[in-house]
Amino acid sequence: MNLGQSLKLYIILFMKPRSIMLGCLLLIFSCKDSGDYVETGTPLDDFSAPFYFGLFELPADNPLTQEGVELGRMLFYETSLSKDSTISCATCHQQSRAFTDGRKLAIGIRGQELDKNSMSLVNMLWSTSHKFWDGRAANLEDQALVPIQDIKEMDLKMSEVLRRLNSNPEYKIKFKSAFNTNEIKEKHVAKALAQFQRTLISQDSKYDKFLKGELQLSEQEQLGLQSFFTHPDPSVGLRGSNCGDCHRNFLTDGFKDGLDGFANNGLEDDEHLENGLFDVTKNPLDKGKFKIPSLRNIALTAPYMHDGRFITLEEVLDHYNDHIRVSSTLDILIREASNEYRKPGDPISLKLTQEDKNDIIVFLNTLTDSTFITNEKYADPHAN
Amino acid sequence: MVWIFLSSCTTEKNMTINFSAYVNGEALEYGKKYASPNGDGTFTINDFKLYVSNFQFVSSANPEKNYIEKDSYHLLKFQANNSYFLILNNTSLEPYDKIKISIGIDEESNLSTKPKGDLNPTNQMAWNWTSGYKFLLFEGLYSPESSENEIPIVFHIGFSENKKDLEFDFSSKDEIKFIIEINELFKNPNYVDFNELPKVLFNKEHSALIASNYANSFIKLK
Repeated sequence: MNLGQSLKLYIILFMKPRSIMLGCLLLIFSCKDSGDYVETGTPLDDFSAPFYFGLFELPADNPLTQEGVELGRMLFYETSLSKDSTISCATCHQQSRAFTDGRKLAIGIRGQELDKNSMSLVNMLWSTSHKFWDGRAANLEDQALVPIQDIKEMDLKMSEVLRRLNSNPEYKIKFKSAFNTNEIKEKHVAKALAQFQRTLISQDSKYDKFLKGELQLSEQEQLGLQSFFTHPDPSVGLRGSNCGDCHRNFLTDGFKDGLDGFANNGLEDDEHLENGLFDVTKNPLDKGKFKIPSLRNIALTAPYMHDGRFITLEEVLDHYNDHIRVSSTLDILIREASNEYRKPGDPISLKLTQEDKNDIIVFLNTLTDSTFITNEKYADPHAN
Repeated sequence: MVWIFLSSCTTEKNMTINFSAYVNGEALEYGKKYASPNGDGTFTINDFKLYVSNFQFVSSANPEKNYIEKDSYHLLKFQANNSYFLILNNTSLEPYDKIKISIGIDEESNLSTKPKGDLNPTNQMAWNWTSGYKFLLFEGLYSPESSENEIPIVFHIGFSENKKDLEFDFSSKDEIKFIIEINELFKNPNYVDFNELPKVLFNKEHSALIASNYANSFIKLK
């Protein structure tokens, strides 16, 4: 068996009911041509994930290796990837804030304000491959190079990125050991950054401990969890807040299939709708759709929405409960959901009580993972 | 931690099965306006998915050759166009004259969180992590002729008893093509008026109405 043949890596779990980290990793290798991948690097050996995150696939030409991940981490925190060497990826994606920056809108080089909120980075092995709020990068490797070159973000031309790295003896050695290359190329920078980011796994929150059977949630947390994952159906007296219609089980990010991880969540009416995913697909049905983010560590990642318009989780719930704006592409389940019978033409309202909202926020706080934000493997390697 | 390595490198004969979705005989297209099944106004479809499972190929002449697909759970999706292809590995149509499939998922797998086939407890079809999968998902918007109001129409069907077993005779030796007629969900034998019943999720009685319809002329062999 040749690791260079690896095309797909699956985790299959052998689980006991309701609990257990995966006990066994099953790797299935298929025999397709693995493209330009050169066998090098040491497979990551201290890697684990909970069974309930399910299957994942890695790109055929970018398996996770110890050397690649270590290099990616150095690049993630490398300020010389910005034109004036003042900022790095970690400027907007700070570990202490679950890889966000606490700002309404991100700030790029020379203090320029961008038009989007910095998205948290978490559990990307399982999330949709489409990156950015509008899905414009097809995968994490493509995404990784965009902010470096964007004139409002890090503003460094790729030729200069490669010149700086190729003239740095330490990076020459690191790239050689990760990718068996004497010349650092664009694709190597992308692959290393993607590898590091794929290891950012949050799996130790209170919610995770509950899923693994290690503790019980409080009564209020359980009520919040149930509400979160339930679509209301007044015809049988079932209450719910329908968050789980978009934020899927366990991972709490959007669905992975196709573009199912993008939705219009009622922030604007037709007249004010931003393009969002439409800019990428040119499909009118995608206008106003943005990427559904993971809610892991949501208590640490304020402000909320792609434009950072909501400061608190209370404001977010008030939006979904009472302030949904109708547009032609508004998500059908948001449009439909209510805890009380509504007649056609009645305004959209979830009809949550204050108690429901309190329960949901208490549950959302169980998604905070203090291990994740203090894990030394994710910290700045240049700090010492 | 135990690591197991498997490799499969042989070329096997595969069989392709095609499902094509139609609305009133027109190819399914998201966002397109279709005449409402009740004749009053129009509706659009935003999303349509269903689970078909337990594929069995039966040879009446040689029952010992009957083929039962392992982990046979297929999620039919129609995102890019109105057709969905699925491949069954290492078999051919040659000896068979009947195909059996189910709409929905058997109770044992439905109550498990173990991924197999297209079952995945983090996918859109999962109700939540303890209570199984939607067998069929239909979401759209209904515009009655008689009013300005647009009514969201949501049909998520998936109680255990909503699994329906279907059987088809065929003579083709080359391919299997199924036609799905979405309007049949709302017509036959149970008539569903979107004005009266725009939503079915957790109501068992209403789910049974739709499930009876999808057991009838909803899927046909071309």
